[in-house]
Amino acid sequence: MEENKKEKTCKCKLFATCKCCKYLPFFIGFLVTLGFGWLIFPNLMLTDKEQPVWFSHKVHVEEQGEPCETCHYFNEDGSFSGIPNTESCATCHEGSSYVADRVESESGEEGYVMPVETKRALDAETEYMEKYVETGKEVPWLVYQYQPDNVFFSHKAHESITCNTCHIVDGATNDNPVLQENKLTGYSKNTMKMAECESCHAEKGQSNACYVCHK
Amino acid sequence: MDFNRRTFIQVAAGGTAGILFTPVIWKTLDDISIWSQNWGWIPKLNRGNVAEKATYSKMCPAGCAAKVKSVKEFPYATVGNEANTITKGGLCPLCLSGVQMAYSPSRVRTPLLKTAENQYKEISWDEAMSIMVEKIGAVRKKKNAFGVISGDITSSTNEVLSALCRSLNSNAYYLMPSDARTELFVWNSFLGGSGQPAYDFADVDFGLFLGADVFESWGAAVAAKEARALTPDATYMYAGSVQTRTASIGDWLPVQNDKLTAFALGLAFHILRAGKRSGTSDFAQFRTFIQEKYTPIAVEREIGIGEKEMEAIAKRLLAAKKPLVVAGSSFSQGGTSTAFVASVVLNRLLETAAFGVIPEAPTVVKNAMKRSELAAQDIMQPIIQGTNFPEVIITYEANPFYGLPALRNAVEVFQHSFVISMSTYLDETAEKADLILPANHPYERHDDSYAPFGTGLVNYNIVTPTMNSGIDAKTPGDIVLSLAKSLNVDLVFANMQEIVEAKTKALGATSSELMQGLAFTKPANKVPTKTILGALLLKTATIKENGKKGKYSLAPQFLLNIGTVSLATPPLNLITIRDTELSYNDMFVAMCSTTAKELSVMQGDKVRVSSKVGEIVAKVNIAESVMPGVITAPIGLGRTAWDHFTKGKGANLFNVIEVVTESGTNMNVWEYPAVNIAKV
Amino acid sequence: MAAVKDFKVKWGMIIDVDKCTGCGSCMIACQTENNIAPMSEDDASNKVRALSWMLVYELNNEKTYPEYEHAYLARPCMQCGVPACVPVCPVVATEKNEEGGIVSQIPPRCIGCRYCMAACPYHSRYFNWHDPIFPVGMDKTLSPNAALRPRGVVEKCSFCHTRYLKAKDRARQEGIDPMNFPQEYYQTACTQNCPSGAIVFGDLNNPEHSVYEMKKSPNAFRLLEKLGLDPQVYYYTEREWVRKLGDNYLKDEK
Repeated sequence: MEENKKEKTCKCKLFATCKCCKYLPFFIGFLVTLGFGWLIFPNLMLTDKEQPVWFSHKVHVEEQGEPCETCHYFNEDGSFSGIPNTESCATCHEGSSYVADRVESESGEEGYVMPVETKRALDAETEYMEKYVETGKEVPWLVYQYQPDNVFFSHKAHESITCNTCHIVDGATNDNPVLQENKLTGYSKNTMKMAECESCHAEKGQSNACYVCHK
Repeated sequence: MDFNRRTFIQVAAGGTAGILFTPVIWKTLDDISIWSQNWGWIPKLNRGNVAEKATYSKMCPAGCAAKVKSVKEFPYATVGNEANTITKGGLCPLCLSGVQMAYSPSRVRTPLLKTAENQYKEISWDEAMSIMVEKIGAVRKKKNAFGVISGDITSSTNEVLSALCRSLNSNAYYLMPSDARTELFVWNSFLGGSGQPAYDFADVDFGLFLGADVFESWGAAVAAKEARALTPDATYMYAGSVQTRTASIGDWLPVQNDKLTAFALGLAFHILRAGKRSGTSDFAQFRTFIQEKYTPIAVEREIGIGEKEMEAIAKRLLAAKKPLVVAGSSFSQGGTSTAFVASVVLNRLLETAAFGVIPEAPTVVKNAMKRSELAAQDIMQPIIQGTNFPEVIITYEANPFYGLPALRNAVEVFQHSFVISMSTYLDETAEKADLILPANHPYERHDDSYAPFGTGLVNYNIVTPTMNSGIDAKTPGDIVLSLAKSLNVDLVFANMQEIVEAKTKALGATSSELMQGLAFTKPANKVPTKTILGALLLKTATIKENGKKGKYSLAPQFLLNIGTVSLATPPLNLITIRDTELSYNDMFVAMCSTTAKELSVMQGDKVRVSSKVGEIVAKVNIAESVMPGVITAPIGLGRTAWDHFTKGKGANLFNVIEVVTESGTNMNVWEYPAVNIAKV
Repeated sequence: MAAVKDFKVKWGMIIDVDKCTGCGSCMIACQTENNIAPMSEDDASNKVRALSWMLVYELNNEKTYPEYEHAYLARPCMQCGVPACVPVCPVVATEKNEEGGIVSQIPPRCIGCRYCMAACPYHSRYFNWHDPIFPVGMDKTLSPNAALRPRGVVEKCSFCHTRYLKAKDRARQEGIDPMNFPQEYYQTACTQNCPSGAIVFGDLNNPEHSVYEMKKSPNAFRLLEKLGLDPQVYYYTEREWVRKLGDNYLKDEK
């Protein structure tokens, strides 16, 4: 009888027979987890961390005209100086408040309104001077490429590779990138995993023996 | 669409499939594996640039020129300073643990005042100072009522302490027992000498060692070993009752430790016969004495070595370009005067360039005692005579409540004294002291070292602080200087750093070089003829037997890796102790199979070793490196204080070591104590 | 039978048994350089569990008094040319694939099966039965040269390998070929601190390093040579009985 036959035309009228409605829940589940896995999950695992003090490469490199080697250089024994310590920064900053001085000279002019950027710089400089230069404490800088204890990385061995292969040195940045820290492991999102080191070593014909990088 | 079980299952299936196309699972597994590699309780390494700071490490008696390596401000290791001409980059097993010991759980962290037996209360430095001023002030007018026990002979801190001592009407300055003290005392008091004997191992081609474990712990072991490393063709002979570590790299001549004087004098017979002379006033007396009493037949009767063998050894000495004879106790303390004097005679007859004299250092603190004056008092005298020690005593780098022979008697004699212990660690003395002052660690202080015993040149090294453990402790010299000030004794200097600078200047040394760890050196002097050979001493000094003699002789060994009297085994050194020396809490006494058979004991059996003054229990280790009738064991175990690393492990040999008196010098001797052994 | 891997640079040691007095400095230097914790859960008398990457053995000529003689022999990892431990590792936590010939041991990769410990005839490998425990404060005195190993993994002497990496950096900084630098640039902690100068360390293939000639001495021998593992640690002695203890000999064998 015709009444008994149920119409199997799709409600959306696109297809002759409808399978998608029947399997719609599957696709919904599929798409939802796909979305979760690619869009939400990564952020769930990461927390954003800011550097303790605002440091601007733009100010130091472009405005002050300091070449990279002033702060990032090789020691006599081939080790890399890394991020300069408070003592190194104090060679310029001890007793000299660059931003404060400039603000003082500029604020004398009529109708001076401190730009937002300058206020930010002034606050950062004051904080840095008080908390670190004057006390001699080290700034607990966050390291984006923080490797575990059992990794030995030698900057000297990689001297011939341009810095921006691994670090953000695209002109001098004004802001510090946010460090996205994995909640479970404590390492940053940017931390290069072993596979990256290995593939570049293989490409360049360098040894991939365990002890080349491990200790 | 209805929402039924099928819908739910479909959503779940879709979700599962979807997850597989996302990084979720793989990333989570990867993160978990990384998380499991980084457990929170595993310490993390410090990062940063590594720096080396030069200093002189005083963890061992002679000290070693060292560099402390640090990552940023965190010190982590001690390495040798190869620029130093004395220790040349070598380090002893104690100095290597220097950084780690600064964080030993047994460090004294605050001044402590004893309120009752084993009960202490924490007090402030000011309170401690006022207690000291009160106690010392009450006795300062009485002669010798204030006293000092010093365990570090090389430091200028002795000048501060001795000057204070004298200003307080006292000459009661005692050095902890050592071969250094024995030699200084005999050299200055009986031989008419001045300064201290110098032993220059550089280029020595034949060394004859009588009991002294020269390459292990006697004197300046690291300096001796470094000199030896540069003379690969040199040969050595060790005469003694135990085949020590020194004996392992040369020839071992088994001679009972109390026969070593006879052995040396027997050699002198042959040396004299070969035509050697000396210009001293008592040479004729000496020669007659030897020719009468130490003929080859007499010597063979006494020590069992025949003429041919003695002659052969004498020939080696005579043929050597730079021979050196060193005598000492097997554990660097309690030795007789005669063995030392005999060895010096041999060196002088051979006219060897290896033996000389290091003059006294100029003193910079007014009224300070010279080194020979420091050595003049015998710490064992009050103990043997049963008289009391001074009423108020300060101990400096010393651990008398652990490391004095006839220990039970020693501890008793101290009962009536108010003991102020300047201690870095909570050692046995600190635990019994009435007032404990935290001394800083040798790497945290300004200090110096002039001519450690056993070195061969005038030499001076300084200690500069290379780390700060954060503990509220002070440099002992600084403590005493403030104490002096509070007692209205003007010692001029404000702190040890000033004293070291003054000493540097007085010696004509260069401060900048010393701070880099370079030693200031000058050649030693020749022995003047006016220093006599000691014929009279050799004739008259014999050991008076005090009562019943035990059947066996104990020849203790001083093994540097196990520690010293003042320093218990550092934690990292524990694995260097063999399980035939110490096993868990049991110490072993070594004996050869002949002795073991006599005692009917086997390997591992427990025995009681006893003497008039005390007893210990130990296990038996059968070792053919020990003469029959002799047992040996290391000193430095059997700690009753410190921390869990060493407390209660092994036995303290000082409990059984009996003291006898040497006639002629009235010296107290205990280098070869008699003991009884019985199976337990 | 595995072939010997050929490396241009081959780090090795000559240890003079006649110079060694058994002081133990090498054992302690090793611990401070490589962050080996003091024994606490197990007593240090438990020699089966003691982490003694460098271990000084006491040898003797097995005679009775007075013919008895003894000697001391320091044993690090032999860094064998044909290691027994490498082929048996199920997870390739240990390998001999780096120029320099040092057998690597990577603790994070190790699963703690201890097959390598069974394979090594020199007992050079040690298992972490416990997590490293340092007394308070001593956990700040850690060397940057060696990562800490948790419990459950095997560790062994690495010839202070991080010092090799640092020496190469120094050579590069000075413009010297990192494959051919002066002997003193890279010295292990035990070599550096031995007061008797009993340990000499260098590149066995480099004529400018003293070990090159020393290894050829007729008095030089290696332990258990007959096993064919080609160890890179040589010993030197003029005493026949010491040399004989270095391997298994038949009664009349020379």
